[in-house]
Amino acid sequence: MPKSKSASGTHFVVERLNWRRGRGDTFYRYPGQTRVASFDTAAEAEAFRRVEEAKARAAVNPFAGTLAPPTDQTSMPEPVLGDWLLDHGIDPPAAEKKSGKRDWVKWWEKQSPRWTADQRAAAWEPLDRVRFFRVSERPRRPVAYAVVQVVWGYNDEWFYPGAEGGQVQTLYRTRARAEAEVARRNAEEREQWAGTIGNVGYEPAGANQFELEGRLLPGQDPFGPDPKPALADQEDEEGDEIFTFAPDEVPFFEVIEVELEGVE
Amino acid sequence: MAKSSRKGTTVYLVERAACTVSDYGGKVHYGVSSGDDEGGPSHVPVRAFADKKAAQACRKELEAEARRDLCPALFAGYALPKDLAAKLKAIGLTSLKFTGPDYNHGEQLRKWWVAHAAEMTPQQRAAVWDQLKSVSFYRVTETTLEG
Repeated sequence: MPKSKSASGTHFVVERLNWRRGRGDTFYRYPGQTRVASFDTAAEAEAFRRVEEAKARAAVNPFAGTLAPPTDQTSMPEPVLGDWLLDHGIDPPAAEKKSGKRDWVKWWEKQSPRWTADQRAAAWEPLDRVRFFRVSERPRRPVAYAVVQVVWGYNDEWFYPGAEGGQVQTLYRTRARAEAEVARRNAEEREQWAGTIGNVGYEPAGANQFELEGRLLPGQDPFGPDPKPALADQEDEEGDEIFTFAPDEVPFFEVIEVELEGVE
Repeated sequence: MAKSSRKGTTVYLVERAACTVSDYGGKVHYGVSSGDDEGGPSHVPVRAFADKKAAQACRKELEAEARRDLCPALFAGYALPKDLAAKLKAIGLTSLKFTGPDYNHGEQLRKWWVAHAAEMTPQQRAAVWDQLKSVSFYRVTETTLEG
């Protein structure tokens, strides 16, 4: 538990655990976390965390996308979780007659929109294995800014990026230098793409040859709505909806902040 | 100690491998970005150290944290260690039996996990991870911090 006020040389860091959206309201937890904010006091950090946690909880079906619900979500045995829900006016999912299994994913999908705010909070409370943000007291350290090249592959139809990150090119001490380098290299890359559009990929989509496949755009909130290409309300030459992005809407290089340890 | 030159300072970067999920017909399967990916693997830089040993210690700590947070069966691929069932039996995890061709074993491990996850201790869970030696989330690389 973080102390209430930071010791000299430390601060309270809020990190977002690495969740990304799959299909619909199915989110998947991946290894790692990202620092999103830091505060002088634990109270400030905790207040920020609670707000962000609530936003994530509003978007996510906690039972979806895992192998063994509800064990993946709670340390309570399944019957105890059922009793907890009943105590809070919520009917747990019924067990299938043959297998005795309960479909927690569908149950949440169908029932949770009907719950009151208090019931929803009560349903989340025992799910101690599903967390989206955390606070930790950490030493204040200098940071560096990595320029990372996004790796784009091709699947015979669209270009698609690596799920996150890419290949580190250079580490800079200032954000301004890293951002300037990324802007320069993105501009170069987009100019090259402008010359090849029409010769590659799925022709009816024109310049929109890039599918994100769930990769987050820089600064995108993973619990918010999916980004849409500027041409999303138009159709391609074959009359299909445009869901892919143009070169000026996707990154070829990004800046990622990293903590430095032991470096003056 | 970090080596500095006019070009910059040598640092040791801890990087996290990008992971992907495929979820077809309710069969969730995680994969780690590898050199086999078209265009090469993707990694996220996490922390940079002047000292290589400190970077390696951080890598180890983050690897352990990821294993605590994630289910090993999600990462079970087609090729599992040959003696996996016997090794798990040795730590008190029984009734895992692989049948048929190797490419079915990953799915059989996932089904077994679903049936036994609730009764597994954190130590047993960690022991399952220990058997999946080919799955690694973090690495240390050397790079230059520009001055």
